[in-house]
Amino acid sequence: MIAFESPFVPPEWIEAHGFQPMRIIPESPHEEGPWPLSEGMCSYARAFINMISHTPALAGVVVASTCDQMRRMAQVPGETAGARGSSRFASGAAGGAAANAPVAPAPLLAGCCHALDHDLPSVFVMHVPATWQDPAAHRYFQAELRRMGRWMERLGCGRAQQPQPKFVGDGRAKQPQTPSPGTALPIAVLGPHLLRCQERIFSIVSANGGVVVLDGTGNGERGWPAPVDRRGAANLVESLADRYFGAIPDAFRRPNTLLYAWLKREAEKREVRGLIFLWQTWCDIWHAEAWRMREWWPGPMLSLELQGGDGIDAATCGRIEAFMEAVRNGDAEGRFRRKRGVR
Amino acid sequence: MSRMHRGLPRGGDGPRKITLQEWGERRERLVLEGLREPWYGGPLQRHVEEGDLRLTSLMFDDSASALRLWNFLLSEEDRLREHKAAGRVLVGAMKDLGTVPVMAWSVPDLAAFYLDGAWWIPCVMELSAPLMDVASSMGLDDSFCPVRAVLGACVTGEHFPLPDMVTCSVGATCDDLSAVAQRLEGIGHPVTWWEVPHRRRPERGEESVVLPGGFVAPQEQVDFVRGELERVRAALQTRSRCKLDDAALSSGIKAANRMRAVLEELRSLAYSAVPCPLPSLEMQVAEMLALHFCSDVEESIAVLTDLADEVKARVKAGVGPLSRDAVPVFWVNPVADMRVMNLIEDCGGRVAGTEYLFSHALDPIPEDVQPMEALARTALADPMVGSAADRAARILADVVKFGARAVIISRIPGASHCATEGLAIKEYVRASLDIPVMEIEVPPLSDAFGASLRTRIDAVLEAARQARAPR
Repeated sequence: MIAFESPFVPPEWIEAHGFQPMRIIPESPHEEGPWPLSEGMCSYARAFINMISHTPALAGVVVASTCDQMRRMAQVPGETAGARGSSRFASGAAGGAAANAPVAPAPLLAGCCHALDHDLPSVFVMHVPATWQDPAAHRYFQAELRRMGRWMERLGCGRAQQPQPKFVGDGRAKQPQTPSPGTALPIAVLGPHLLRCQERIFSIVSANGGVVVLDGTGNGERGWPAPVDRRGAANLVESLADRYFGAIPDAFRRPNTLLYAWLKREAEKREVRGLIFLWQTWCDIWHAEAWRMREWWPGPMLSLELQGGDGIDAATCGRIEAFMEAVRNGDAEGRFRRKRGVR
Repeated sequence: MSRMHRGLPRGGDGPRKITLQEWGERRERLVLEGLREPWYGGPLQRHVEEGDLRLTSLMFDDSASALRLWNFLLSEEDRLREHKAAGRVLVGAMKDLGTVPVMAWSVPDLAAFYLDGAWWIPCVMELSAPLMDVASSMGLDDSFCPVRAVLGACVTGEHFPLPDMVTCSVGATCDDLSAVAQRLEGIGHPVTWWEVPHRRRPERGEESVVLPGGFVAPQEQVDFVRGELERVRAALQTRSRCKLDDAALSSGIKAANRMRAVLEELRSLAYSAVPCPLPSLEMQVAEMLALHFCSDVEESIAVLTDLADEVKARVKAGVGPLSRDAVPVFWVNPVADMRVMNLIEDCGGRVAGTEYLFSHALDPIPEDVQPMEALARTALADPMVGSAADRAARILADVVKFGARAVIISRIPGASHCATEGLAIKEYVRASLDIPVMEIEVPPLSDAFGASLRTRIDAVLEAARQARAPR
């Protein structure tokens, strides 16, 4: 079984190598593991890395470099696995300055990791380019998929097979909800990955007369790849790169225009009436978009910082409740109805 | 500069650290004795009158070379305005720290500086300029690193001439800077984005290359970065309408290497000689010049050469501004408040080695390969784009090289990389060397935390005094 967290990691590619792909979404911020709680640390990234470090059934983990914190935290199990002499060391040949160090280097966070009663899984850090407008970035993504393929081959399941048809284009089985006239208020939720306990936002929206018709979080529809174009590239890697790297909008991408174009298109299609914008505490990438989003979004918008506690606290609940009421009132009076559409 | 003006025995007094006020008197005396200053020279006090209030809280080295260094640093805005007035295209580089400016300064029609440098402004001006407030009002609050001051500076337009074009390396870089650059683009400064991937270790049997500084990377990654830099080159040429060919780049690299060679000599002496020949504050400024030459390539080399000559003379004479028994400390990350560089010395320490997140700007750029290949290797040698283990290994090597007996990791408030990297480096060094390692956090103005910072630094120095020398 190979775990992953980023929507940019194609599960079909994992399955094609004979492994079962498993997308891990941590339940709560309190996962224990090699990373202690520390100021400035993203609770989602910490929970993910800690969770995979005590999941013994994993053959490996793929982490995308789409955020600084996740990239850096993921290196710890990888480096430690290498230092323990594991044959599953993700990075291949030893090298770097460590090889030239005048004293024997120690593994990162050795004390915490060595307290575990099992080997840490091999970690593959996949670089997903932030830039996307130049073809070289697409080629780099393809090269990373191939490298990931070689890593999986080393883990022991042989060369890639054609992926099973059931999986192609069906990596995320959910279909978007569309609003029915005269029913609940259509709401979009936009933001990064959510912990499972934070997904309660969706039920709070429902309980207040709304329905999330556009799940723009990292757990949701925003992370879906483009549908399979059956007339498309014969080469599997090229096809995956087109569908994933070429299509998934995210705040880390530079420039970030894909995100806004996607939101405009999907929000108009679903007649979204209000936007709930989320970011995890210490997530600079999504936090920085909040202000710009408020300037750009033509209707009511609620910015919520998810502070890494257990789910959604009472104050946040209250804010969502008030926001829904404002959307409902505004909608009744036609105040927020877009005349020109999303800019 | 004549020997007369070096800090060598002046009636029995050796070099020492002096206040801004004392510098006023000392400069007058030096001028009377015949000191000839460059065009940007003059009393340091004038910079305070222009708003650089932090100078009044600092202690400075008393050499004429240090005076020249400070005046050179603090007059950069004037030089940038002159470049602009002369019709040169001003390139505002972001994040790569030591690559794009080498390209830009290779031709006379371009002038480059780091917008990132604005992160010092809140400290130097003691928050009297509202850069942080402006950034906060635009959504970049104090949960972001002080580099958010760049946004404030570009909005107010008061601290440097606005660049004609902006470049920013993204990918395996810090999220704060990437967010700030995206916001700059949003307010009308188009950015030439270029990618620096996460530096990985080569797979078994994969063609690899040793980068400046000793990290190893797959050739495939170097090739990719070279391609990205070719895009930057094309953008620079298009904007300036000048030819940035390999011959020009080679000559730019040679100039950069001349500076890096002087700096290496300076670091080598300043971080290892006993007594310490130059305070850490001036050394920090000297290292910063390597990033973009402080907007004048030849003068920056001259300034550093002058400083190196001063240091060599002091070492030869066995004198320095600090006590012989000052505890050598390796310093990790730049401090947002320069005053803390004084504080470490006030506590009885001295800086013996640094890794200010731009060691790749100090290492020589290869001259035996094509210039774009050389620059790509340099960009990929950035300690921030690799793993914390790589960075820690380099720190470890330098701790041993300079004989440091403690390591202080200075956290940058709000910086995305500091939350995890400091902890990893601390564990790595502690597990490898029997020396104390401590993390402190330094805000742009640390006065309110002065007592607690002093206590923590005192504690680590005390522990270092009691510990044995590195094995």
